[in-house]
Amino acid sequence: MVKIQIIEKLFLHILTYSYLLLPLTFFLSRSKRRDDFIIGVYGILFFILLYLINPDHRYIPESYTQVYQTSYTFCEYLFFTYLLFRNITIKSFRIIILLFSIFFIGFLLYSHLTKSYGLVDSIPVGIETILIFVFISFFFYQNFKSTNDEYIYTQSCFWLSVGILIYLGGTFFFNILVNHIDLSQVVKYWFLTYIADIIKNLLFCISIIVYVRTPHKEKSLHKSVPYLDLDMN
Amino acid sequence: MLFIGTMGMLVLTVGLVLFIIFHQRKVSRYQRTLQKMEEEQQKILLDASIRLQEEERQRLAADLHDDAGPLLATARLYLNENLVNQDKATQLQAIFQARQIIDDTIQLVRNISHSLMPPTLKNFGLESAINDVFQKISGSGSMNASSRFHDYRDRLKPEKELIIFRIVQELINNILKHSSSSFIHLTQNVHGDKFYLRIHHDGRGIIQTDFDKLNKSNIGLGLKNISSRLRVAKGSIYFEKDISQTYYKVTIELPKDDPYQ
Repeated sequence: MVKIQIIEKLFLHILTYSYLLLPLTFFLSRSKRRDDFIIGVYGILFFILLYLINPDHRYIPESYTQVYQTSYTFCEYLFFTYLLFRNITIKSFRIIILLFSIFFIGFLLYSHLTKSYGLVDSIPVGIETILIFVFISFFFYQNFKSTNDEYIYTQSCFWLSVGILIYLGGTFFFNILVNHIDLSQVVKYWFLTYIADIIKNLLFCISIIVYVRTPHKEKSLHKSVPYLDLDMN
Repeated sequence: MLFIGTMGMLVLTVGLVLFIIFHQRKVSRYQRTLQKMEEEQQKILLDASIRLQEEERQRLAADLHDDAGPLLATARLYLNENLVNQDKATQLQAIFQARQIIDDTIQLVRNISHSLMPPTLKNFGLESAINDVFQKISGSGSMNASSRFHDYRDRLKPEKELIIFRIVQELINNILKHSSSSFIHLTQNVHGDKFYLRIHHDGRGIIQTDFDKLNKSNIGLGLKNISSRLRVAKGSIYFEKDISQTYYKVTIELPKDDPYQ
């Protein structure tokens, strides 16, 4: 049991610091895109959130656990949805995302005020996961419909979507069942969720790099050709 | 159960992602092949239509110049012989008038011929032909027109020169018709393996977005013609307003081919 706890702690540490890779990649890549800036902010925020609940120096009192859980779910949903929303251009999908988001935030508040969570806020997280899955399917559908002949993996949002998919896929079962199964089982495999989370962070870094490395079309042609411009002096 | 469920979800996710990648790759490849085929077909058609148009123009030019001119000149001689029996004053009057009309006709035919296929372009190249056009515009007094070639030591191939000349003609026509500008200036240079021409004018003009819009609409046949010609020559065109906002610029970029002997 002690060995398992050490493994879990190790992965939690790696996960916490892996969030710092996001702002680091943003700064090093010198990206000027708003999406990448948001990813950087997401990295810093979630580093702080995870740092606060680290078992070695837990800064969140037990009585605030539910507030923490709701805030975590809320921030996560907001970041993922915002990043996907910015990359989805079909108007009807954007409206659906907005409507679902209003519904979800309302539900999250209601759930926070009326229910008491166990180890994890299973129901809100479950709904969040399903909604994000739907939004990702919107993004892929949009890509299938597009006449653009670029490969999908040359788009930075593809890597974001894959990261989110792997993270949500890897944590979905845990989040749903965690309050209904034996704690020893949970502790034994909890590190799997951390691995999925770390993979997501790495894929987010790749998405920033992919965007920076993709050549973008020049706005104006041949500014540097000599003697082509009028000498107005 | 927890482990199996999670692994199952992960496998499903990875499978889904792989499916999306492979499916999209397949679709992309198919689309690219289709696009390539379409582009080739379009290029062939355009090439054929432009070549046909130019051949027709050359034939017309030759007909007008070689046939109509000498015929009219001969008619002038016949007119002289028929007037022998008339009184002198009438003869002189008729001959004078007939000669003047025929001279005008010859001049007219010559002008048509030259507009269809400028001899300067054929004989002396693009630089001379464009300078000639600009001198004519300036000479008319309606607009201040000038052109300057900075580096045209190596002539382009005749077919490319013709394409550029037609594009410049089209652009100048548009500027004269629509812009109400007071000056028009053309510069040329080469940079790396590219040939550049830039036209400046201070009247009303268009920018790239307008050009793209007009190209997709049913109007702007002249601009479409420019696009077609550029596609054949593998060139590009860019319409913009200068930073000073005082004049418009049209830049033509073409790959520079091997020097024409």
